[in-house]
Amino acid sequence: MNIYFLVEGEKTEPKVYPQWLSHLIPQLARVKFSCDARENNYYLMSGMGSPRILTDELANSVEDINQLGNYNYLVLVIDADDMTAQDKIAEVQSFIVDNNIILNSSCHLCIIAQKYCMETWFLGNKKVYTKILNKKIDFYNHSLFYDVSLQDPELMQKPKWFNDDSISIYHETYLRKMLAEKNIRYSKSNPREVGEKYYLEELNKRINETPHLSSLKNFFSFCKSISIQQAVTHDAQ
Amino acid sequence: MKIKSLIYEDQSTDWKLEQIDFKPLTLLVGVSGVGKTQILKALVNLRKISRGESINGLNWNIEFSTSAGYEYKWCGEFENKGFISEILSEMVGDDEKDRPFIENEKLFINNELIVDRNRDGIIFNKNKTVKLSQKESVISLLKEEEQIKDIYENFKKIIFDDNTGNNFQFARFGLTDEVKSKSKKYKSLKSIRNSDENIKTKLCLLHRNQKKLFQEIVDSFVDIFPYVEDIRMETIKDDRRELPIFLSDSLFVHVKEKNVSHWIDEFKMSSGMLRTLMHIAELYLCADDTVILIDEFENSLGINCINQITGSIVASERNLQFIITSHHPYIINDIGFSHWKIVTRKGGKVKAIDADQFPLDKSKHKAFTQLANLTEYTEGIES
Repeated sequence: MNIYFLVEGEKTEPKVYPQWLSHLIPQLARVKFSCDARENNYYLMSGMGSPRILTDELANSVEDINQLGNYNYLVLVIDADDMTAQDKIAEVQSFIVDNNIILNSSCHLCIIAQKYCMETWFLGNKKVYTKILNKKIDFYNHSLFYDVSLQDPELMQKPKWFNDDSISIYHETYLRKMLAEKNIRYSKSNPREVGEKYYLEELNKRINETPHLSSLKNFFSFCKSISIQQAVTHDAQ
Repeated sequence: MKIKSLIYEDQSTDWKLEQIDFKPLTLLVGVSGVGKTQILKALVNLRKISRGESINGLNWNIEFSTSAGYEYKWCGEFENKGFISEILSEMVGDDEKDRPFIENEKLFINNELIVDRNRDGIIFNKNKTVKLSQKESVISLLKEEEQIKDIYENFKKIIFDDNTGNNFQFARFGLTDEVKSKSKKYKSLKSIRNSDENIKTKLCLLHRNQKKLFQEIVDSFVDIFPYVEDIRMETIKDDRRELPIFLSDSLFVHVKEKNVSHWIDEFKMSSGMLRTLMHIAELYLCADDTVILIDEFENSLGINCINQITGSIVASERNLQFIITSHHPYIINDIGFSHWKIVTRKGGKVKAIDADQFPLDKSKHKAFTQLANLTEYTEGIES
């Protein structure tokens, strides 16, 4: 089995997904170029942001996959931003139909919408949240505005006093400040801890124990199904 | 000249470039801080050494050829007086006695050892020379020798555009006797191209002596800026501005835009426009066989200029060689990936990887998108 991942982000996703996949589907080995895939490989490339991932890169990836003929899944990972994950997936499906992008029937398309963005998912680790009582501490206002350890991070909006229109940018800011309280430094180009196994396990725990982070659950379910398919194939051999 | 390869080390800063091979067009790509500009500066330093400068702690090995049909290999090493000594010399200036010695130097012509030098002296064509400065390269010391002259003259043909605009300083070119003599001296296009004058002076000379050819530059410029109708080189005539006397008889670029009644002088032009004109002029007026080094090609060029200028470079004739750095997708996509060198650095060790060793032609994705997904590019610096 081979999987082709096309992810929206240029910085965080190309770093974190390979780390996560090494834990979630360890049977798959990453290849550097899409044409290098042989058996149980995955290829991951950035679609260089939105809208470019759809307007430029998706059709090219589909052409490559059709040409190569040995990919079983195309996983398109895209930010839902202000839309619901379901609406974003529907929007992508319409785009594919409207632009006559046809994937070979041997390859299945799986669309993962990150609600709002990947940083929103990282907010789900309860262990890195600190309740702040001291007003002088940078994270105080953020923790007062929303408690991501109790409430669903996917439902967090942005406070009126935040100077940017984008909720995704607020989520990233919240994450940076929250992690800083635990002496963990986060940046998009160097996400560090969020790719680690312990961090991933905390997110998995959150999904299993609460209805929170439903868009992340879709990704975990996809990985689980691949893992099961891999195990069945292995047993059959 | 054509620079074929370079190995270079600055021992005072522990910066080392592994062998890099150059083509007629080489595009250096890589993340900021990886050392692309340093590679261009290394070539500029070799030009300086060829002119007699001494540079602390350098160790170099360069291979090149010239249109005269010779293949050269020139290598050498300066003593390393340490980083502090270098800083001090930059702060207080070079004192002759503090300049570093050349430890060794060799020059091969068509694989034959012509010059062999160490601290004891210089062997030139198997004969020991009289005692010469130990701080100047043999290219500079022996430039009057027929075999060396070709090299000396060719190193002059390395032009570096570092985007500071210093290359485009005003032309001290007014209605003086000196100017008249320059005008008489450089009448033909060839003589203007081969002159040592700066690019603006060359433009003035062309405007004065070769109107038809000057028009070719104007036409290329108008292709990029269609709202411009003409360019000329003249003194600034503006009663509202007081110019220093030394500038009042100097010639400056003036452009005439459509539906604008007056001519716009270069102080009022956009920097991008002026820069584009100078790039066109440089491509047109440099000597044959020039090596043009351009750092961050996209800087201050508007998007409307980039494609046109890149196109001119790719299609360039007259045996020019270009070594360019860029981060811009337009430029990178316009220059085929067989010309790319992906620069990577581990500590102070810099290496350039040929992009055509990767199967970038096997994907439908644009080459820049694939480059931006390569770890050699995104993770180009390792500590």
